[in-house]
Amino acid sequence: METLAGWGLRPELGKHALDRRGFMAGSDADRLADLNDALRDPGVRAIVAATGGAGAYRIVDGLDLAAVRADPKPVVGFSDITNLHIALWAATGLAGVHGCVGTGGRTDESCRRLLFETEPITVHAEPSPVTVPGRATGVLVGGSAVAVSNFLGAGLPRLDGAILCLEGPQNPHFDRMLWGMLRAGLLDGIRGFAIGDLAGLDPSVAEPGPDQATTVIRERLGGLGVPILGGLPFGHREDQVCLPLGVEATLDAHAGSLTADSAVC
Amino acid sequence: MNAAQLNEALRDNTVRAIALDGDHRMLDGLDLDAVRADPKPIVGTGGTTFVHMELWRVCGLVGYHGNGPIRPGRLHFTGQTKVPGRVVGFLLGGSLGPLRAMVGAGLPSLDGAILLLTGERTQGLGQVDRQLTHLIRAGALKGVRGVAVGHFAGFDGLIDRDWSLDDVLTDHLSTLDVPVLGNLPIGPGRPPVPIGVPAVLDATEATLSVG
Repeated sequence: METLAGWGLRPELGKHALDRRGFMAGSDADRLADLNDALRDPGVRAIVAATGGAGAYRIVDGLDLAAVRADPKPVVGFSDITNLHIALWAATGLAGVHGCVGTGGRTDESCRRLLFETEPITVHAEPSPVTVPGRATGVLVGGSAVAVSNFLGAGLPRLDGAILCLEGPQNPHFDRMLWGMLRAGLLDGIRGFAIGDLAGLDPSVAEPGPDQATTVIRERLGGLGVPILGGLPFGHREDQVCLPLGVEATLDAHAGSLTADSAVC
Repeated sequence: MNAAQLNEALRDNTVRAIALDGDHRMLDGLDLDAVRADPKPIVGTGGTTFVHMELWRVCGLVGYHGNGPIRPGRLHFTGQTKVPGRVVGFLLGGSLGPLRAMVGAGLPSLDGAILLLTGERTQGLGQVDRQLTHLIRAGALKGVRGVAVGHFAGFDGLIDRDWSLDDVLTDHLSTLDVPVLGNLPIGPGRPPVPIGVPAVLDATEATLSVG
């Protein structure tokens, strides 16, 4: 809240933001009502998730899409919030911001830039064993790999013409998620992949085991004939860079850069 | 056992049953002709559900969910009433993670089925919540007549901010408006139950009969 106020904004807390129900922040109905209130309120210019958004996948079918179409505004978040990004983009083409606010450093700065400035941004990748050289242009979609897989057979058609962003903490099921995406035809017509952090540890994973994600991305996606840019600094890591979603982007895996339109125009 | 070894066992007519620790990687390249020419029971839990569901959908093969020797005849189980009611249908399903992972990617229709759900913990309650949400959102549970909940290994004593596995299961399964029978002695480390055969779920009397 302080960071947002520091940008000259007037942050308002959702009515039920501090509620609790099990591992979620209140009931589905209350969380959905808060979100739809914000989507409908013309005074609200962006919606910023306070945390990872546990349970976001449960409310994606109740979003007020008419309000989104009438008055598009970006949603900022990552992890389970990717569910909202995908649902909103698939239905309305809404642009959003993958990342968070309030942790300082380049995370806050990149978020501020995406919300306030219209100039394209360029993000540079660190060297990564998953990178496959090439250049691609397409709409940036995705974020949390688990959230992307939540939409198989459930509201996300093939990602024809898209650059798919994937990140996620170590997960014993990374291979079967990619297997499912391929088998479902989701990746038919994909233009490229932008791969973020894969090394984070999820405290809920009983036995993390060896790093699978790097190996399986190479095995399953490396031969698709499209460029892959690994080592992008977004996802479950400290000091992540915020990425715009639902906007045109150019991925240059040779130069190690991703250039994208801002989240606002 | 890998995919090649599974195919070898499927082709070998001296092999009369296969105890399998399966996974999704076995599905692409399965020797379906061998399965049709000489059907034999495949026994397992966890990732073996991938193989069970695929071979049920494509070949109508009855799989066996559980571990250990197959028992002949009709099987009777006693569980715990969650949502009362009595239904008849084919018992289908198995391990929740693989069932969810097949949504949009070859999960057979569960219309008219009694859904068997078991599990193995690899993550926390949030994962179970995502899996059930996905199955329901995708419409994969449309037409399910009843739910038979078996053993979920590794969740004993797990409480996440006041919620247990039972809370997550109840939260979703009670919305289906069908009988639900919990705590059945079926699943990982339990004797095998045939998948794809007629069953009677009487959640009021807390019994499940299979075969």
